[in-house]
Amino acid sequence: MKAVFIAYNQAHHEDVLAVMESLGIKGYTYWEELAGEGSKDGDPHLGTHAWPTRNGALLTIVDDDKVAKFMEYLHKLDLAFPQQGLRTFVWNVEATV
Amino acid sequence: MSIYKTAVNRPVFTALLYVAIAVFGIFSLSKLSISNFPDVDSSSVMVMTTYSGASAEDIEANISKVLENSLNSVPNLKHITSRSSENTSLITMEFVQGINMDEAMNNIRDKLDMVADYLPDGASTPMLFKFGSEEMPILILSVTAKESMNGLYKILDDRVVTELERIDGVGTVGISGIPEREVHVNCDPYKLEAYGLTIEGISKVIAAENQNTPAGSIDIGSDTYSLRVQKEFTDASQLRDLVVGTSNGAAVYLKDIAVVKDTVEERSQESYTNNLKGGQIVIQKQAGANSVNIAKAVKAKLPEIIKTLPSDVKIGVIVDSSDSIINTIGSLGNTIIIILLIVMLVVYLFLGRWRATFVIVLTIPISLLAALIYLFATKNTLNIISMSALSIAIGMVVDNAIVVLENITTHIERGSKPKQAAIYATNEVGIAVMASTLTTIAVFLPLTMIKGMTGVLFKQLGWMVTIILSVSTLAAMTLTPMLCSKLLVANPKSSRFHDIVFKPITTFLQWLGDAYAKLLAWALHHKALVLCCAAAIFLVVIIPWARNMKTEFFPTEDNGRISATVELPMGTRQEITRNVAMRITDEWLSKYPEVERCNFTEGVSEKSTVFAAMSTRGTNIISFNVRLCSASKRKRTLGEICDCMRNDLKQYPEIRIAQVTEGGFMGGMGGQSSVDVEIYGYDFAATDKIAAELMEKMKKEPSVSQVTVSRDQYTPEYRVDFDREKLALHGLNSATAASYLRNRINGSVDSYYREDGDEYDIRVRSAREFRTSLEDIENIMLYNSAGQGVRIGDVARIRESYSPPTIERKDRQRVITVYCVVAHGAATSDVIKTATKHMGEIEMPIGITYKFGGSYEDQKEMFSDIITLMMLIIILVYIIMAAQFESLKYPFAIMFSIPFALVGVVIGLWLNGQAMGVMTLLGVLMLVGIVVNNGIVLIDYTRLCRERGDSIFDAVVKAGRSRLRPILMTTLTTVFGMIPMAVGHGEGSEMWRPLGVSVAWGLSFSTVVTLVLIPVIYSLFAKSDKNTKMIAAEEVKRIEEKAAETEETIKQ
Repeated sequence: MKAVFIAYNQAHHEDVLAVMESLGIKGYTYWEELAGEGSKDGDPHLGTHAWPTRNGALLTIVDDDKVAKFMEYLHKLDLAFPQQGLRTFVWNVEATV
Repeated sequence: MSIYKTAVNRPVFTALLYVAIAVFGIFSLSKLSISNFPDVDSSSVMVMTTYSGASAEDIEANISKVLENSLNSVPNLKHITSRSSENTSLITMEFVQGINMDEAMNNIRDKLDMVADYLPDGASTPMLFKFGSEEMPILILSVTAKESMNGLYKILDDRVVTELERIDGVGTVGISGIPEREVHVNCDPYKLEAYGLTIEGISKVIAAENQNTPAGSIDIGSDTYSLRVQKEFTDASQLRDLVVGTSNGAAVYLKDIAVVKDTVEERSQESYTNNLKGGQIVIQKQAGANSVNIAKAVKAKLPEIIKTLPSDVKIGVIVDSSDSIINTIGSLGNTIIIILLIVMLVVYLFLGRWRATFVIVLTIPISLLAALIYLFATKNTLNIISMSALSIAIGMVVDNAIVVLENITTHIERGSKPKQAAIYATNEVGIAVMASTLTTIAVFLPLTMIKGMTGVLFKQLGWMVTIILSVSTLAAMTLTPMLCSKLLVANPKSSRFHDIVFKPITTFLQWLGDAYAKLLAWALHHKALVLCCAAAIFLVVIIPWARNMKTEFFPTEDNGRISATVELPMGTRQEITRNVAMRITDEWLSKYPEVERCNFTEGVSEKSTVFAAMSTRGTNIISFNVRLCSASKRKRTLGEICDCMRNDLKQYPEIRIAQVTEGGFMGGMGGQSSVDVEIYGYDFAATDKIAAELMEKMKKEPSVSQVTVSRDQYTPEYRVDFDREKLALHGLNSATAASYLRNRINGSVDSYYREDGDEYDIRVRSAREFRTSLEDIENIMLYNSAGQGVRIGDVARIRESYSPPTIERKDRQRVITVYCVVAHGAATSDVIKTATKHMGEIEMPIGITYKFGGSYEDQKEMFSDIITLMMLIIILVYIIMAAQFESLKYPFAIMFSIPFALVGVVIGLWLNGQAMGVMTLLGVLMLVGIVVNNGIVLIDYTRLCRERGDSIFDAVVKAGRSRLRPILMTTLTTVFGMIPMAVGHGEGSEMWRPLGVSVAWGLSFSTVVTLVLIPVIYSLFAKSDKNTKMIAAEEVKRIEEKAAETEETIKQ
């Protein structure tokens, strides 16, 4: 089991859900309105006067065998619309109840 | 959940909501009535008091003055004027517009009750009535007839008047110019003398013989019958065999001493249309009714009525006040459609995508229809003001939708799905869109709060634009994102045609952006030069204009109607007057092919009405009503033709006073502009002299086309001066003697001839041939109670005399007014200037003062109202911008676009040769709210760039390049929207042309200047501001310093 944290422009939300749906990934937590800035390039999503766009973030726990496929799809999504911004981070899940 | 999210997620709901608005709007449109201006309640009240036998001066001293002093303290009174003439006093009280007139009427009644005891015993109770423009005739029909002429009055009265009066909203219907039937008994005074009879006696005998008397009931057997003496005449010829006396034992029949004629009244008003004799039917509406609806209903009913009339009776229309209203509103409607098309074209050219254009343009009909719902709900009408509001708003309503759509497009191009883009992009610009709408609403909402005449006019405009803008903003935040989410696609395919058309436009816009960026860069390096240039432009235009400012109230509306009053010397006979009138008509008909119908009336009707009390009438006065063909069909304007007619009338030596009125009415909105010089002073001779002197001087001025004086001349008359002593010796008194005289000349009416339920006067008097000279009057025999006769010549002297004119007072002082009509092409302010100059030259005795009244007074009042309002609006706009920017200095920088809007307006006025009027000022007022929007867009984006870390220079240039397109787009939609108004030639276009000119010129000029000047001023103000990098560096430095301090403390 891996925890996958995806931070992305709000506008990507439906696309991300579609990817998860296609891979049969269920269960997630979604934060709708977040502020954030990419570490390399791309516009910040701060919801301010200067940077009015907003980020959303999604945390989902995925079976190990699905992670690689999931990451690949998300990368494709990022490549397709580079201006929107999407970052994914994966780490191990120690325990669940 | 935000409204845009709901809107996008529930497209059916959203769409149907706006469909509902549209349906209600269309329903309202079909039900709305039209009129020229918003309903203005009459604000004048008249008080009429009669006191028989009193001269004008007595009336003034005993009635008018007493009433004025008491009525003067009624609240909200603007002016009190009075006309004191023989026997009557007529006081007119003018109130501030927009107050509750019922309350005012009650106040007046209270005051009248208080003062009642102080009036002379013989005076009647003062009569009170409201009178306003709505009581003016709205429709005048002409009637011509051949065979039926003698019975025409009855035919019209029975079949036309009663039918028309039944129509809802029609007030009174009057017939004029057609003599009424009368039975005349024309006696031979010498035969009367021979038989020892008098006119009074004959009149009494006729009355006594012409009666039906019920005589009670009688029981016969088991029945009860009523008894009746039925002796009323059933035919006028029965009068002839009436026994009026006996002579030597034989009966004297009426036919022996008099001629009995069943005919029409001797003196009457006559009416001619294009020199054909006929009558007039004058239709007035009820207060508050809609002229156009009534005129329509009357015209719909006419064909039905005409069918019932004899075939020789023809009915036509002389004056139809609804005509020009329908045409005016129609041409405004066309203007609105043109504006809509132009705005659509501009949007399409800029966006290059028909779907986007559709989304944006759709907000126009929806917001306009919403405003129509408001009009319908508040029982208002489609009029010049509300229609102008619609046309003004078209260019502005698309602005918000454009901003929203642009941002959605950006998001889609960045890769968002249309639905997501629609929600988030709208969210981003929502606040900015609302703020920019607020600055515009800040201008229009205060318009709804002002009082007086200005308030009445602009209230509707204020509400309409406020509603239109609010609905358009709502649509921009709901309907636009919803439609975008459905209609917009990421990368639209473009056809070859599209490429051919739009490639050059895109290239041009690109080039324009680059050029503008270069210009900005240059300007930022030459700030002082730019500021000096701007100041120079402002001063060079404004100073000469302010020194030489031409002002007017409202432009004269070309409604194709002219009325003229021509006065021949006092006492001219009706036949001669008629002859002059016919000559004038012939000349006008041949000289001006534009004249469709020329109607005149002359003579005095024997009936007296309120109209008669207000206007001077006489056998020497002709009043013309001329109708021209519609404005678009002729080359000469109304003003030009009127000026020519005035010159024509100067060629007639027999004319004493000629007055030609453009538009058919004086003053007010759209009427002829005039300057009234009111000269106050008690002494008739002194004020007369000053008025005459001023009149002579003003007549020579080219800026004045007509000068008249309000005070009449002394009227020549014969006075029969009875010697009381001689009368007494013969057992007579003045009253009896005077009644004898009256009965012989004017006739005695003691009885009526009844036929078919109508009553006709039976008038007994001397036959016409016995009352044509002064000798005839001297020969009139007076009888005392003993039956002894004496001739008037023996007890009285007849001498020629003059009766004093009506005494006019205003605000409790005697006044004489010199009316100066502003010539075609001149402005009211020119006339004021020359009149002031001339009045300065005239020597004024102590106690005589003057001031300017008429439309100039209203103009002054309205100008000061609007200027106060403008100050308030400027402050309000500043407050809204300051709140939006959270800064005091940037809004100040943006405010610099306002003076340049004024410069643009001045240039526009100068190029069009127009004077500054109320409509222009309204344009300036609107500009305050519109021109700042460009500055807001520009400064907002510049600040955004600064926040993103750009230097001042980079931020200004970048913002300029990026915002040029939206600024041009919103400006062009508004400016092009105004152009059809500014160049319109339809009927009534004079009214709104100044508005179109001022907004189009003001906005274009200010935009051009704003685009360079505002960034420069911004850069000066922003110098002290720091960008994010500087703030970060300072923050780090502060932390380091603080840390160093703490470390040092720890060390110690």
